[in-house]
Amino acid sequence: MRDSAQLPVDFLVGFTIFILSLIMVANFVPSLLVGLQRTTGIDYDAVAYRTGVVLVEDPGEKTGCDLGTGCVDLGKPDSQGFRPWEQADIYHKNEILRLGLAVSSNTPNILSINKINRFFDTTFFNDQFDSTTNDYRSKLLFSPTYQYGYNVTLQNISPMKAGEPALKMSVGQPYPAGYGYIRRYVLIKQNTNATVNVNKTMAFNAVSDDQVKQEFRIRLDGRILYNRSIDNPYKIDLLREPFTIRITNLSSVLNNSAKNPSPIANSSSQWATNFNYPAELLPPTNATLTNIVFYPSCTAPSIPFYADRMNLTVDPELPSGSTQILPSGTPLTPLPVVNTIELSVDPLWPPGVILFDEYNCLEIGLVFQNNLPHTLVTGSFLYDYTNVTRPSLSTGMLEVGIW
Amino acid sequence: MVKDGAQLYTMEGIAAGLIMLLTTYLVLGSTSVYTPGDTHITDMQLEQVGSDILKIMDTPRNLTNSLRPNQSDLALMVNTTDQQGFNTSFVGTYLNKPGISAEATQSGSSRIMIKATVWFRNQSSLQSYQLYAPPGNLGNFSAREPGVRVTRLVHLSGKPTGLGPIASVNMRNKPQEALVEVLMWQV
Repeated sequence: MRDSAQLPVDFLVGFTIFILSLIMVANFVPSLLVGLQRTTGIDYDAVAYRTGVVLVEDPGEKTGCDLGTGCVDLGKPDSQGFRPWEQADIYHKNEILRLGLAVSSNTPNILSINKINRFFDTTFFNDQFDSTTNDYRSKLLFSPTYQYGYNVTLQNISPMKAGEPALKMSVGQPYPAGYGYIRRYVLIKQNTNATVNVNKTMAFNAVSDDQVKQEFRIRLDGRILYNRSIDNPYKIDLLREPFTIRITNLSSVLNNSAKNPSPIANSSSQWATNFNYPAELLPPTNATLTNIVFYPSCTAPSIPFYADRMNLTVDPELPSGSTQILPSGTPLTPLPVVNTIELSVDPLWPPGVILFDEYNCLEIGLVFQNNLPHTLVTGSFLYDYTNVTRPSLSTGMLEVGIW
Repeated sequence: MVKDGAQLYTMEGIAAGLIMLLTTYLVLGSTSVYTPGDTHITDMQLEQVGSDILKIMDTPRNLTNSLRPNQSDLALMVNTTDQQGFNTSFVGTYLNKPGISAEATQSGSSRIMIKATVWFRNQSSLQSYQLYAPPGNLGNFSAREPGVRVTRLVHLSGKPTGLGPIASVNMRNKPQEALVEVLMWQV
């Protein structure tokens, strides 16, 4: 600067370049840091991972009482208090705290088919994306307020049963362009079932018709089923798993026994010569199931049957076959059966009512008509590891997407 | 560029300054910094998948007639040194099973290669042999994702059959635990 206080042009130009450069550098710096910013997917990946862990490694949790109404139903015979979450009915849905699919807390990656079926039941759980009461967001993502988008899909790798189509179930919305993701491989534990053929040459054929009643029993012995040397993935847990028993070939034992064979069952032409059953005027066409009862401790007097849901199917192979849901505790309306009875019993819970647990035995009795025709069936079928069909664990793939 | 009187030739000075700034910007801007957090996500997903597969392969599907768990697929493959069976099961049955497509379309490359090693303890040292080695073509070396390592301890009832000469000599023929280590990478 000179004495006259005038700026030289050189200084003015230099200062302008400096200021311009400063402005440019200040503008560049933030864009240089873009590579250091976190990508938006990281948070979603973490949520997807967490959700996958909850689903695959946790059995879920349910409180003993309804969060909305308090513990009003505890202590009642039909209390849902301590049931596993997959057995909660619609009135106790609010008690479910966490939706986990594992069979138990010490069997990660091994999922229960009953939990899976309930989890993907969108008539039970609210799956609406915009709903403030979306169940998956509150019980699985733990974000009732933040609206995560989600997609949970489970599909079979090996089929549940040979010849059956692969299982594929999904909840949530279709995947958008960007999302957090985790994939888990799992095993699926299925329910057990048994088929009993009561052919007259078999052990369940009564030798005569002079018994007090014609009755076939299914023996469920908790002391055998809950044998502690058997690991959880293979345990027959009838408190948590429905079972199905199919009794076939009833037509072969109508008025017919191994000791006193009757030709009538197979040939009506010999009817008149049948001395064992002279009072019978017509060849038998069907048996009649008159009642289903429970025997607590396997020896105590019978009580009306008690189970959550008991589905009774008769003659599924015939056009006349039918299925009905039996309401707990009510007497059965006598039912004609030609050949087959299929009984599906949902979990036997709670143990306090029917005394079935790891220390107790329970028998289910199928009582047939003791009048003509005689259903010459008797004995007790032991539902244990040897006599029933235990499906192998099947493999599956669970995907969780979060956005 | 500079006169004797230490003055800049203005135009050249401006041009040089701009070029330097632009160069700096381009150099710094073109460097994408891959943070450890980003790497971790991809690795974690692959590691979880590998860990799950090993666990499932090592879980017996059912009980035997004496109500003891069956031998697991993984134990069977190690016991018989079933090299192709291991690859077919690990990759072909789980990772890329034909007919099973992931619901998520962006779930990463479907070409995953594996290398499996079995570690066992001899009387005095830790030794290993290869259970499965990938074929010669290992994919593109310059564009390969980093590999992850998953392991599982497997119970062996004795010395496996079909071992190579060195492992066959060194491994004890007694019940023992062996560590199956699988290296996985996407190509």
